Amino acid sequence: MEVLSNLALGFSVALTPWTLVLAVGGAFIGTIIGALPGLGPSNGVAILIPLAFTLGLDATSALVLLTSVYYGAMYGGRISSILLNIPGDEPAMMTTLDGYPMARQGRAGDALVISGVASFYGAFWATVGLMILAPILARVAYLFGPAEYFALYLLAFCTLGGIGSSNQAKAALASCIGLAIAMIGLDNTSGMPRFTYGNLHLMDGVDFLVAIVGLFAIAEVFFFIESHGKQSAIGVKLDKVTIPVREIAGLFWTMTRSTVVGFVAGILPGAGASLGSFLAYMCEKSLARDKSAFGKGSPRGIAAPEAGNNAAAGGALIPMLTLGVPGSGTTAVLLALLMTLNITPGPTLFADRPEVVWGLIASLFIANFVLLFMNVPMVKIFVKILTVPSWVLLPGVTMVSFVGIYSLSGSYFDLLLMVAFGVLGYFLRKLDVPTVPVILGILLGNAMEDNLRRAMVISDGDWTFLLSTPISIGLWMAAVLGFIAPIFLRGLLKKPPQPVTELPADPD
Amino acid sequence: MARVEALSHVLYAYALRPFGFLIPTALAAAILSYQISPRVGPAALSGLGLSGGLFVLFKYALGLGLVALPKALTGS
Repeated sequence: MEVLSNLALGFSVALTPWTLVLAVGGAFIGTIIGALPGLGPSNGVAILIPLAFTLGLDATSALVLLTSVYYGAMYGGRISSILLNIPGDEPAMMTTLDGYPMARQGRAGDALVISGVASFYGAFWATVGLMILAPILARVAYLFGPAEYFALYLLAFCTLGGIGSSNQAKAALASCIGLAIAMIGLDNTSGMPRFTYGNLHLMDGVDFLVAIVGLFAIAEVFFFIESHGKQSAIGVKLDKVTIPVREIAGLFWTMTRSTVVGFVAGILPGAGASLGSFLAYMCEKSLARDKSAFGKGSPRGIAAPEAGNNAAAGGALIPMLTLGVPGSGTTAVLLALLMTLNITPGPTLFADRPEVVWGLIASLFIANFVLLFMNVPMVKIFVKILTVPSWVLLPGVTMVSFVGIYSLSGSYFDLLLMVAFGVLGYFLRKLDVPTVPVILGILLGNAMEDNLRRAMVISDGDWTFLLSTPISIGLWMAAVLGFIAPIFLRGLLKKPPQPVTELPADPD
Repeated sequence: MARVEALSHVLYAYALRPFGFLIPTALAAAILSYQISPRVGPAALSGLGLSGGLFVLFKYALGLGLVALPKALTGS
């Protein structure tokens, strides 16, 4: 019953009026961010991190705010999928397949309610899973030494490159770019400046927030201008929103199965919510007796990906909190937040800062109920926001990112660096190179190097030390497998046809 | 198109300190808005509206130390 007493501690932290305000506000902003095409969870959270600092939030409050935004964005993505046939973010892509046809049949309201309830179901049980599994995994993590951590970081890069992207070589290239950028600045061990070329601004290294906002938000703006932002018009009518209770009750097993599938996909480092919703949809389709209903507005085809992607969002928090290895693009951004707040994720986090961990878990529960309320009875407000024209919205988002980054250091150099990262992100996207491994490289590069060096010091330079324990051998094997196996599996797991009007979606 | 935008961002980064927040922000936002939807009126309006609105939000709601106008104009 340790879990319950810990949870009570969490609620005592999370149920203060100020935290509640942050959770509600974060959930609201997050839903908007998720609903707007092109702005996904990783973008949204990245833009809001600098703002969280200017508000002067302490660690728990900042985490509560941004994870509420994260969960909210996961809920919101479905709104534009269903109404516009444009996924609000990448994990919501699968929802367009059945959501939009259902809306075309005049059942837009039903589709929104079903997907909202499925999102709640997936997210709720994933949070329960997080609560139970995270402390167990944290205990296992105590067995990890430098060699194991090095192998674990490698595993994250390999699975992210293998499962999360479509080309191994490009993903490996992206990881190397990220790791190389992480080298810039003072060397942790010797104190020597590396790759700074005498530029004082680079002595501190590249701030990962600058890189994240540049690669995600600014690159998105460049891309949007070029694709000439097809003006999105709501083509379906949304009349009364009623709750089809019987239909939702009939989807109970669909949602349960999808939650389990999504949750497991979320825990895998590097896979994330997109894989969760994809697998949940495919699983449900292969189990269905009447396969032809899928793609034509089947309620099961709406409930499955939504439960799956929200469950994966919860699952992805587990490796991030217990091991410090993010499971997706957005959790990588959250990890950046933790590191900036001077909190080291990992097993010691559960022992030293229980109020942070359990406050976070409790506020996830609160955010979930708030989101259910916002996304079912109040969904019309968000539909209104979708009608804000992009020529007001996008300049607004850009300026907010600029001011946010400027407020971090007050230096024009960070702004220039951010634009440079935006240009880099734009070209990488043109070349179909994933940007998430770059972020992961910048985030984890220093820790990975430190652990490798520590391992070499302990073993007096003997590289076989890296493969000396069963845990590290297992991790190395998983890493190799995770990188190579998808090459062969890709033929089997063919991606479904993409929606016709697809915007460059956010990499989660 | 994206080239124009990148250039305007670089100029914005250099202009922010000497010219204060309002003018560079209004210009940058208007340029971006014009590129998405090439109409002068709405673009100018969204530039002005965004720079004013965001200034109030950042300065008074979030408490950032932004400088509104060029130092030469305010005489401080």
